[in-house]
Amino acid sequence: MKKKNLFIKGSSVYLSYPSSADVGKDWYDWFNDDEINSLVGKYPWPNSKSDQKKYLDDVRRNKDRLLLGVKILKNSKMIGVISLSKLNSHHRSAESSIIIGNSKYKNGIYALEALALLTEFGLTRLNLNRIFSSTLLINKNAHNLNKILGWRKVGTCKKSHYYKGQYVDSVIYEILKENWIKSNKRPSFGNE
Amino acid sequence: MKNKIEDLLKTIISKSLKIPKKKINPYLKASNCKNWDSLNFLTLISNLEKKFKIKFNYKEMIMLDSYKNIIKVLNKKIKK
Repeated sequence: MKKKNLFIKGSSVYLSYPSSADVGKDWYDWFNDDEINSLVGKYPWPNSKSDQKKYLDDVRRNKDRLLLGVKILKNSKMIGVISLSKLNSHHRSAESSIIIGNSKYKNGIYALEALALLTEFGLTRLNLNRIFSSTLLINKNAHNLNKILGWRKVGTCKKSHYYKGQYVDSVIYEILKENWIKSNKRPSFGNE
Repeated sequence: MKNKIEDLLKTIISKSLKIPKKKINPYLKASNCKNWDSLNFLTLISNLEKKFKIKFNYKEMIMLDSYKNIIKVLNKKIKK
């Protein structure tokens, strides 16, 4: 079956260009979850469908950010979002982030595949030289995800985020193109 | 898979997914194990790579969604 707005296809997930129809489902509600907001360092503020639609419109106009939906290949259910932001065409770099909002799909496999697909796309198709991510020190999930895919830890920002009443450190991970192209974690795109 | 390796595998799964060894059987899957969450799964991959001194490639990694598949992938890796 043809997948709507399919952009990058993997084995169990595909990355799609989000549409207004995606906003109407549970996407907006992930950002009413205190734990998700805390872990991604987002300001704890209510989010509605119309806020999410406005956000999507803003992202679409903004060419320094690529936002994609993470969807299950079998049933096209949107389980999360993944992005490359701060796209810098001079330095060839960008910052990645990923959220799996649907708790039923938080078993690690989908996040791993989605990040591998995005890394491959960013470094080989967008011709970026470096992708980095910033994650709270307490977010062990994100650390493991980056480490397993061969990203390296490059530094710690002290007390950079306010988390549940205290300031906590965040860690920067990065992957360079020269290292990724030698990696055995590189996926092949299913739509090629 | 030889008993010693299978026992080591069960120990790693038990520690990583935080489930008793006796609950590890051929029917164990990400979809039927409450403790198979993102953090525990990523810890499991990392521990398997460390203990067996192997590196999973992309295709192998995304196959690791059940006890049966872990054994299948490990068997191939260890034989190499």
